[in-house]
Amino acid sequence: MPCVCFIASPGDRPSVTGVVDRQAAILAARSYPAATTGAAVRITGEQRGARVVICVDGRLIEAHEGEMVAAALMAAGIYRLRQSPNAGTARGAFCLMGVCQECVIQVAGELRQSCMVSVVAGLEVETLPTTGEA
Amino acid sequence: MTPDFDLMVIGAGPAGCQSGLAASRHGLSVLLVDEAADAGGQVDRAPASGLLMKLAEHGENGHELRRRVINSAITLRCGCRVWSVSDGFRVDVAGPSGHEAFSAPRLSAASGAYERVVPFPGWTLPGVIGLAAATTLIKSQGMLPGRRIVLAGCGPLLLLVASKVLAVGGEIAAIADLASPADWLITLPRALRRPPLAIRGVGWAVGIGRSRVPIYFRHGVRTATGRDRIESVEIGPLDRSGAPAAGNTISIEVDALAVGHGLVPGAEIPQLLGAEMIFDRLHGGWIPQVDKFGRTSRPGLYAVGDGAGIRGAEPALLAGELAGLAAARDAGRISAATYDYETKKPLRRRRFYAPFADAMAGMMALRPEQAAGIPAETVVCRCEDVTRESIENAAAAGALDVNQMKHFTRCGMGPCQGRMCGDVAAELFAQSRKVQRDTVGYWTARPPLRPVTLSDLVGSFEYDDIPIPRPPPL
Repeated sequence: MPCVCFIASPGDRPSVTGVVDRQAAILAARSYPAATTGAAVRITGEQRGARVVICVDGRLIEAHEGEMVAAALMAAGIYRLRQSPNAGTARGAFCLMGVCQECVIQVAGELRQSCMVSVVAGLEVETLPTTGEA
Repeated sequence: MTPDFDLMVIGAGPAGCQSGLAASRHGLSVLLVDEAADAGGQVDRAPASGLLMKLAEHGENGHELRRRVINSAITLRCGCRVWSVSDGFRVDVAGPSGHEAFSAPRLSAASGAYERVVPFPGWTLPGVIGLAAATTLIKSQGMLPGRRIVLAGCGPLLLLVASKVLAVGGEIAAIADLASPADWLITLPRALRRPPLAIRGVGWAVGIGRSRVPIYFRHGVRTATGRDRIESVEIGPLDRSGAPAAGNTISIEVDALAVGHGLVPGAEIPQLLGAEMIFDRLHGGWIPQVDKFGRTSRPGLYAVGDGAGIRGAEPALLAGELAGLAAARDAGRISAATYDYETKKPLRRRRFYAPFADAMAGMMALRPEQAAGIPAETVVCRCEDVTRESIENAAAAGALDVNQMKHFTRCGMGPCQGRMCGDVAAELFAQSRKVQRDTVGYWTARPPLRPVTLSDLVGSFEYDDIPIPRPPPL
């Protein structure tokens, strides 16, 4: 599914209200439910890359430019990324240093380790589909 | 063909950077390759671009190291995965500009280590991450892995992660440490040889003590449960050897568990090139046999840093310096006198650090009983869902070494190439065969050293640019 994405201003506080309002409206309509529990937490007070929107399985989540995709997904409460090929059990990012291959998903149409790819505005990401039992 | 460089260094952590810097200082042309976006390795990992970390002590070493590399004559190639290393030496990388190959008569392997996690039921659930992964999240992403976290495992990384989480106000539901307070205390005399580290360690311990986070010494994770992600953790007592012991277990609701049991050297490059390997339990497992300057049994091949035995960041810097000097000496760029003079101080400092490094390595080394305590139906190889039971069945069916066991079970055959399970799987296999660990060997290393996509290797090209020879006349 194609995504239309808008770039917000850098920093935590949006200032370009027009763009951000539209972005917020889209987020409200199509985003994952805001993660209240069960999500990685961005430490407050750190200055981050520009706030952008990326598209995960056709829904929008907020992330910061330059973040690793795996971390941005965790912060949105998306831990399950794929399933193991034999037993079909749920899997998510594990080593976060490019070794374990558990966070491999479709990033911009290619299978990538999501811990080795950085967030850019409008990035399209798909977790791997569930197949069969489990 | 003339070689592209005098020395190629694989891995831009402290050991790799320093070996490149030392060689470059003496006029060798150096290529430094790393798969991450920036130099620094895991220990001095650069913050994600755009993230300005305010946390104290964050990344100062890393900044300094990166600055020195950038100001040197070293050719630094980041974002490049080395997928093949061959004799001579030739290094094949897949990077942003597609496939490239480089050559040099000398090669320094500084590929670092990865984390060992001793399996328990539920360790494959999303939300269970390594302790090293937790440090990456905190240090390079400015994130905590969850709102309510349990930390478990052993060694200094446990203490480090706990203190970092508390420093930024995160909630730790419990810490389960394989060690007892006495185990920590006996490292103290050796830690005192390195006052800054000892003070930092004691500072962490005091901070954790003050926070009133429940610390369960001699405890470990029994199970993690949840549907599609971790929801609760059960921890229980361990005996001195790290095996589960009788006693009450405690169930804790969490949204993340960070667990790690030390580090395993990433020694595939020396293995692939046929260097002599030795099994060294204290320093993490199979490591290349090296002289005190880092020379392996293969002329021109050096191995430095945690990939040549777990010793930590500062000894890694010294090992890098020594190997860089050895490369310069072997290339005939420095005299024997200069070599002796310049290696004297790093050799002395490394001897001084060794007791502390070994004390920390001892806290992280795999105890055979840890593996023995894994329940039979627990998945050991994450990629292929191979259980402990299947590994034991392979031994019963007559497999003699880990490679035969791999063929029987598919253990270690998945995309992580046996890195996550290799150490524990070999331990379990040796135990079920009732033989010494070194007799069952190690996985045969083969290219590709890392999974690479065909499109990475091919890069982008125009069909018209492909040279097609004219067909011969019929």
